[in-house]
Amino acid sequence: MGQCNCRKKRKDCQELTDVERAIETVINQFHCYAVKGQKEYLTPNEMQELVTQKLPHLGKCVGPLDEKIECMGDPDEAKLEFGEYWDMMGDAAKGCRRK
Amino acid sequence: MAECTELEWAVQVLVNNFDKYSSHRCCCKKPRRISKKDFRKMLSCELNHMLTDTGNRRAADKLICDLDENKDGRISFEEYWTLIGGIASPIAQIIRQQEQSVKHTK
Repeated sequence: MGQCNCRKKRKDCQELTDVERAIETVINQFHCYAVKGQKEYLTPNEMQELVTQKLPHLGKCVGPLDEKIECMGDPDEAKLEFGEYWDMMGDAAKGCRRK
Repeated sequence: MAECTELEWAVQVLVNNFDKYSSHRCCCKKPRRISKKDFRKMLSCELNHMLTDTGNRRAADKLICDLDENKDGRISFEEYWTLIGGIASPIAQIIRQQEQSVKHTK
């Protein structure tokens, strides 16, 4: 787990701007971790794994992760949409700016 | 930041992008914001390829229109993040659908 095998780049990758590549990266990470059940969603467990593994430095900025994960419902069943994941990344981004 | 991951790099790029287009108006104690004009400029300079994808440009226009209802006329970091999320989310769905159709044809 954690090893990402869906990192294949789209063919027009060289032409993409950094911002576009960044957005694609964020999307790909979501899909890499959304493996259980319906793949359009992350479970809280998957979200936790993602933040711990992929945001080792910025993860601190999202606040007390355990609490947040608990609020998300059943760790293996609850469905977190891309939007919720994006919001979580937003918290990390705000932390990034404060530095 | 030592040895940041790909995802951290991505978040940092999006943060830097906001800083690139935003400015302090009059008073540097106020948080930085992007004007709508600069936001459009940013979309066409930085997200040109993504927005040419099916319907994404329309989605972006709608997002900016929705933003027009916001009286302050300038885009804060939170609003910026939400807007980019609004652009990313349909793209995420498209990528997922493409992956699924690839699997089905195999």
